[in-house]
Amino acid sequence: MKGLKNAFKALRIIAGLDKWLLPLMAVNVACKNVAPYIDTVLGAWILDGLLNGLGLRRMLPVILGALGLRLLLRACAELAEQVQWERDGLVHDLYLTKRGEKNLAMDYAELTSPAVNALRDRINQDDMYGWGISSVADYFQKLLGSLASIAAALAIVVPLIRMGGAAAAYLAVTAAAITASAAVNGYFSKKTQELIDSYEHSRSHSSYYLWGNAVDYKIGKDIRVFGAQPLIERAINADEGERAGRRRYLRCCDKRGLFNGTFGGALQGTSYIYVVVSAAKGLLSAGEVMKLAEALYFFWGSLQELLTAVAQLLQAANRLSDTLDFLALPEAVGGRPAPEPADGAEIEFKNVSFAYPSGKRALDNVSCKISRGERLAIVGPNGSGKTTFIKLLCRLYRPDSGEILLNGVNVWEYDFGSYIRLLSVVFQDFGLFPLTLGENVAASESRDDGRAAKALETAGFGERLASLPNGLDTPLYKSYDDSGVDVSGGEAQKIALARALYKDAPFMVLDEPTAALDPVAEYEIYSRFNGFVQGKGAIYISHRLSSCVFCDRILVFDGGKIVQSGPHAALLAEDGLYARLWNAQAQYYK
Amino acid sequence: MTTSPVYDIIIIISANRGKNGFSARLYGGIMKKQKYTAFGNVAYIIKDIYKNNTGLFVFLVLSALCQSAQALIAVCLPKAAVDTASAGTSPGEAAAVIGGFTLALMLVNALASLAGERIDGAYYDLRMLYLRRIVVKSMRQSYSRLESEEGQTCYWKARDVALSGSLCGVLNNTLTGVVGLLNFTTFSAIIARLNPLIMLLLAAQSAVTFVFMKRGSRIWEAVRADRAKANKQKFVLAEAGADPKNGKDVRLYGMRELFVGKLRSLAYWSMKMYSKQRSGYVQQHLVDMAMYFIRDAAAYAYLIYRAADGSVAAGDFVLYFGAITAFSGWTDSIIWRIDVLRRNFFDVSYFRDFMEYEDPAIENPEHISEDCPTIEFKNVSFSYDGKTDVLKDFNLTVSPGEHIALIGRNGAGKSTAVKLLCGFYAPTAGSVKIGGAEASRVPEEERFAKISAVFQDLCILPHTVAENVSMRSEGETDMEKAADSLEKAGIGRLKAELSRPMTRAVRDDGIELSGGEGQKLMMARAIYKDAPILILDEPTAALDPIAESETYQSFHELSAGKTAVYISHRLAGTRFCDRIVFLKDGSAAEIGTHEELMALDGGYAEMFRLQSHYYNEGAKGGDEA
Repeated sequence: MKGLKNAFKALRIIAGLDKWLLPLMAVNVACKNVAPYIDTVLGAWILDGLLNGLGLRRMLPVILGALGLRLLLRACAELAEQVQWERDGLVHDLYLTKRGEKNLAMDYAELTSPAVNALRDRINQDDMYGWGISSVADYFQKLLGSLASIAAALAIVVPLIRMGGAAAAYLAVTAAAITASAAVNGYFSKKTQELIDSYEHSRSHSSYYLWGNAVDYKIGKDIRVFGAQPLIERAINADEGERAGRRRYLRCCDKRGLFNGTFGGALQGTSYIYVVVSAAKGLLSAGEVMKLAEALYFFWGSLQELLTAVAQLLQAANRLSDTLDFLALPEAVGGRPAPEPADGAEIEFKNVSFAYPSGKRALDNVSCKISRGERLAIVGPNGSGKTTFIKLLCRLYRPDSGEILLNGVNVWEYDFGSYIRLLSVVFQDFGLFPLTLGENVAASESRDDGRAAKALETAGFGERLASLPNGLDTPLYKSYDDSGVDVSGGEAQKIALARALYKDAPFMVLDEPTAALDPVAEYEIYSRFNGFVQGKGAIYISHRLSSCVFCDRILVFDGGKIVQSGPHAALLAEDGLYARLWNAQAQYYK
Repeated sequence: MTTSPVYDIIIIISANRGKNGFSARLYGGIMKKQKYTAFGNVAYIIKDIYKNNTGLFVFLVLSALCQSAQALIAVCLPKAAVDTASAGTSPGEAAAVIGGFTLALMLVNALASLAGERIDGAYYDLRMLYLRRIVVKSMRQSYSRLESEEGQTCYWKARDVALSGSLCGVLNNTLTGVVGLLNFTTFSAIIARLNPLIMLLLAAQSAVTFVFMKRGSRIWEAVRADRAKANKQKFVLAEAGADPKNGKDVRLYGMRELFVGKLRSLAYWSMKMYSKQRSGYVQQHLVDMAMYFIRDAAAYAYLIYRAADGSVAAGDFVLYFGAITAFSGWTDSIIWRIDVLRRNFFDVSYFRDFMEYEDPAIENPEHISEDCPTIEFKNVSFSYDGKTDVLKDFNLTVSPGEHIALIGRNGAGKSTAVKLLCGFYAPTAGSVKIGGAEASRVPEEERFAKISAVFQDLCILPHTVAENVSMRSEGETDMEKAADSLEKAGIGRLKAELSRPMTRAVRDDGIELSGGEGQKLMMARAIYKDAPILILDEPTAALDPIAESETYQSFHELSAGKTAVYISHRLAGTRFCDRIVFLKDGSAAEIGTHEELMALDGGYAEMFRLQSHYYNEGAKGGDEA
């Protein structure tokens, strides 16, 4: 029942992505499967014609007509197939895009939640084994094809069915045998899948090293210096359990092959025996023998195919549940538009607490205010909740308790798109994308070239930009485009900064923006940034505490709480965590 | 489920991965100068497969025999049926004749599909075997080869041909070709009985097919590179969008539309490309259909003509017609196989290119003499591409037990100096010596025995904590020492979890570390190895000030009695070094202690002042800059 429902949903999704694919599939397979019966009927007709003394002149028009019809059907099938395959690829791409879009549209908290991760893992595994929406379409086409073929074969073998008695017995026995063989094949397909699942995992050590491109040059240095080759080689070479499982799987395939080969031979042979015996009883002409035997065999074959197609369709559709669940995950909904905050606009954290889905408590009753026009530094040991604070501010996660207010309104009441326009953020694990440099900076296909170049210059990327022949249109990464460029960690950081500058939002948030930069570049960027953030709200997170000095206020985080707050001089005098952090670093610079 | 869909996906994935992954897909019609002969390649592959799976050849022969038997039965069975019907045989006799056919069919079909299953299974295993060999080989080749563009291209091409089935394809296509030839012979014999001239006409038909097929394959190859590019871009872009790591930025910068728009237009572009690519074959198929129309009409007409004068009986009519229509199928298949085989031969070359590559042997290997060796860079220049020098006339001598800090701007050549020290590369000019021996001439095992290093890229493998520390299997790991190393590196919390797996790549309950903790794990690895030379490349970038300071303290202890090279943008750490080397444009611009360089008032002093600026200002009272 679920299989049927899923199958309908899948077909609806396909029709939604491209309305032509399913009709083309039907036309293609119907024409292709009906064409061979023309040969069957024509051959028999000629044979009987010969025996009845019909001359070539009488037969030729019929021959040309029948072969012409066959040509027409085959040509239709070929042309439909060409377009079908094009559309098939298109639908596959659009479907992956749709699935990818879901990743971009769902709540961020969901994106990395264990449940969604598990869902994604299972979908990937299904992809690996060729399940997925395309397999539903393929089996659906097979089903249509076998129906077309059955219809054509039935039209030919009707006289046999009318023969009564023995015919009924023969038909009943064969139909029963075919049903039994379908059941046996169902067993085989379940068994083989089980066996594959028992020894092959997309998340095994060997798949990690073989498929994941893990042994690349990035970790190549460690592998060599520390001599990890034997460790990895052992992981790559499948263990005994895997080999034993594989052997069991292959033996099962042997049985499947023997069974299907024997059964197929018996089916064809008995079709001929039945027809020949009927003929010997004087019931059929030579032409009819040829025609009926062939059509009968086709009929049984198509029936077998139909049963298989139905079983496979249902299996594939059942397997689709994860994908359908994934596509049905809720997306961020609208809300009221966020206002452009005037100077002095405030963001307020009010008793905010938050724990990650893994249970790790990250923020504990945090309260503070951030105003536009203020420069704020956030410091604290690794794991004290600084980045989580920013993630909540960006609405990537929802507070467990307490609220975050913008101009007195809970930020979750605003439309996400209009709210996020207020924030320019550079995370320490920022992402750049395989797009052009300009698209990375502008985060859009349309952009203001002047502003983008200016932003890159402010971020310290000006010199490199000038050296690129294609300038802003240079694709990032050679892996994306042969004309692309690879950038170093420091350069990547500069581009991410430029993206934040280009966005020019009223609040600017920088989380460890200079970790990969040398002291000179770091100094230059801070100096330029200071000018840039005039009149905006700015939040800096850094382990290099020198950046705190020119901030108006410093929040010191420890264990998810704000333990100190105030300007540099005051905090330094307090002899608390801030002074300890500061002195730990400053002692080396005296 | 057959296993083939798995491959289609895997091939796409693997072909798309990696730095130069896709260039492997682009070799298409352009065949490079061959250092292997087609015959040599066939012999190579057949010998190799024979060694690994001798039984496969039995099934290949069985399969060829069964397939031609099937083809023969397919034309003889209708003839027998018509013969019994037109001769007025009794039901019992008719059943006996066709019953014989039935038994033959059951036997031949059973053997054919058994052989088919065996062959499919063996090909799958062989593909996996080749993939394993390629990955292991890539791990065993030198680092410079691995990192080089040529090495990468060579690797990805080898992977691509191994996975696409081209290697087994040599056997498979030979098999199909042999079946084609067997049937060609049988059917020729049947048709020759009717009229040998017919074969000439059928050959002419195949010639036309061949011309169009060549044209189709030319068009296919011409579009191949463009389509590969579209596929690659779709894949890379989709991966980037799906990576949860990028999820934050996509949302914060509203990049959803940009992504989806790009992917959609790539999808449509790719469809157009595919349509163009296949167009030649579609034309070939349409031409074939038209020829089949003519062939079949002519065959019927001729057979009717011959039957009318009584020289062809009803049963023979069926037999001949079946043979004529099947014949062109076999000739076409032979032609097609020859074309595919030609490509397979070239593909074998790509595999051999990679597997047979040997790093140049070290001439006159040298050996490190002392326990705690001296390091000496003498007039060293180095260039990756042969054009721009990353190091230029770099000189530095580090005495045993000395601690050196390498300081400089991004791109000044610090990491390259370290790569030369590790012997990953030989200098373009000058010499890099460890304990009197030229680093790149010291056998790898001996060289790496002397070196511990913490590199910038975190290398955390999906093995247990202990295995990540020792880089050996647990059986070969001194667990106490591993625990001790973790403690010393400041990540003692992992001591209790030595046997737990790391990362979620393989296990859901794997331990994930933050960037700072990851750096500490790398430190623990270096401590465990306890080699006389210690290299640290930016070990504190992700650490908070207190952890940073602790690292400096522990570095001091860990490196006692060792020769250490320390790279950092945090100049504080350099205080713990005996000497500081300030690199500028690839050479050592300033060398001396912190005090000496400050007194020199050059590039280092300027850099130090820039970084200490706010600390001193701040300490004075927090005035704004």
